[in-house]
Amino acid sequence: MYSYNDFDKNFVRQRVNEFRGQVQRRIDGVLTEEEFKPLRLQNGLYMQVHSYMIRIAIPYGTLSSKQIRQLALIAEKYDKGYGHFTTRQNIQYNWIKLSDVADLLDDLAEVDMHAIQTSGNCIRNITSDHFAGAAADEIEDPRPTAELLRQWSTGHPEYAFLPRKFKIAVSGSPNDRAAIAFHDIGICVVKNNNGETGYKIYIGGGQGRTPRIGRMLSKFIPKKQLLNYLDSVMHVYNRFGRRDNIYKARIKILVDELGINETRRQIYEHYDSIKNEVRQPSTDIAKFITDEFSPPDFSNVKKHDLEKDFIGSLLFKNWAETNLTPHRDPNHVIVSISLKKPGATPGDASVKQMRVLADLAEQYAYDELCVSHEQNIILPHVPKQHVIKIYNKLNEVDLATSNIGMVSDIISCPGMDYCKLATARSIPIAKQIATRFSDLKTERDIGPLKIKISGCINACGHHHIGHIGILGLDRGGVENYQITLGGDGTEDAHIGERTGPGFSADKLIEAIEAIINVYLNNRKNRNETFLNYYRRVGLSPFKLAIYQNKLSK
Amino acid sequence: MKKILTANYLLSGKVIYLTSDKKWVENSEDAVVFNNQEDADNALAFTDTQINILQSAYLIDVLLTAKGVPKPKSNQELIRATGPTNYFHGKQTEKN
Repeated sequence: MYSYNDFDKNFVRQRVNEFRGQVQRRIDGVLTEEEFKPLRLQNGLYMQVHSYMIRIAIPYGTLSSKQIRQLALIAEKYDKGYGHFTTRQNIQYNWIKLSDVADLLDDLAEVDMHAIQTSGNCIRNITSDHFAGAAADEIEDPRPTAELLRQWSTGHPEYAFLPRKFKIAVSGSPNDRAAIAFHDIGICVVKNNNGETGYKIYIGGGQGRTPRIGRMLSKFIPKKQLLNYLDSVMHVYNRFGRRDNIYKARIKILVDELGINETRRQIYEHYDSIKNEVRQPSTDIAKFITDEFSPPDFSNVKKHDLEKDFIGSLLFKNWAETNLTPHRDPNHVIVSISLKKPGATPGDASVKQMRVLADLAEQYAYDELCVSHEQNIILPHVPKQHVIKIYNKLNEVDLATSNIGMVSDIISCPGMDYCKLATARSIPIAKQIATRFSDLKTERDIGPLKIKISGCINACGHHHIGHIGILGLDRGGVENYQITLGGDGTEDAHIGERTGPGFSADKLIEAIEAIINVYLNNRKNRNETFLNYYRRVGLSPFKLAIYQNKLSK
Repeated sequence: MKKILTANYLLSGKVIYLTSDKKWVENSEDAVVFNNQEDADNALAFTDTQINILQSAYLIDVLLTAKGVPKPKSNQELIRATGPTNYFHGKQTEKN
């Protein structure tokens, strides 16, 4: 894992001290709220529904046990005993006092963390594959690239005043688990015909009110040219990106307006003029970054037959079926820990739970965790012999839910319960659906199904890429929920199609049930997943089922 | 029209409401109700003198209960005045 050098440490500490002074000047009345607002946003501090909210960056989702333990301490000291893991692999706290913020940031700095660039029109936290470094299908660990981009984009003066926020994701596998097609820039590690490693680049993807699948900008950019290339993208965005209308300012709209060919031409015009400049770090520094992500030594782990642990423990076997993923080393597995116990708030973890996660990572999993954009926690490297011990411990703190990738593993934004932008609540909807379908037999019968819920058109809950997407709106003061079907955030990217008019909160559950029943009653066989069935038959049978009974209003 | 004035305390971030004697309270039911725009605008102008203790003051629409108690009209302001619906946190823990 990357640990801060003295430069990083000083940078973060100086920023905390600077912000401490700015907070004090606000408290003393020297700064008005109008003057202070851009300063607090640059440090991740929002005013939300009930209080201040702080958003903390977790670069590419990776955490050490020391870091998650500190996140638990922050939840205990400054919040109400829990934190909320977000769809951008960050963590948010909802009940923060301005008078505590500088101390909180100092506590974060102790463990090499901060809240810089988690808000505002800048390059935000770089996200990545939550199985990075562990996945069997990986060409290369994407995190050294993500870390390079973190260093390049942090505090970069050219990217401090972009037309709008800017999100970059990096995947190291052909199987995309980082939704790279739904980012302003999506980067995928690839090999060319000569066997050289480089990057495939997508541009102008995103969700929100104008969902777009990222358009292919380049099939192969050599590694040593990545920063020159991305700098050229940012140059064109800074130069031509619209600033007159907040809803038209993302780079996806620029690509829409220019067309991908003209966008590419503009980018290459700049790129050709700078490609002999040196933006990449020196070989030493590049090696240093890569070495920081060197995998643990897996060779000392003995072979272990997990099947033997299943004997006498059906619950453990059930959990293993959904929550374990093959690791690139045969004696290890990837463990996904669900933060989606039916009835609980998706993505929330209590102080106690975070501490258990820290202990488990430290004792059994090489001290490493990763937050997934699906709001779960991953232990990327777990020797098979330790899996049952981990499961038993997770069980003690309500973290042993066996539902990864299933109906009740729902992504949900905070919605109107916590977010000022929201037009409807999403958490209660997630809770209701998860509870309705959580019966193990029902859930297993339905099979893989991703439901994603957003409480407004900004789509933080990724509804556009849910197999079933739910968008909460306000209709004359009443919460109303639109349904989309067939969305997919993987390498086979699709934007979900809207079924039609929305549903009230109480009718929505019936509509979801009707949709699931259409699938269960008509699939070819159990191997045909919900998504495949939808792709085969389209919207019609679903529409018929949910509108014939006039569930919608 | 029926409006009340709300803001957040600068230091704690807590949601607050203006009373008839120009004090800030945490219970929306104790807020003063403005029946005309002029009174509402005057109250809003008063908050300019309060920048050291609060942030982002604004007026919200309310309905009156049979007993004349103001109740925020919008869903979001109701949640803001009561607390989130997923946990028993916030103002609902402080009310009787």
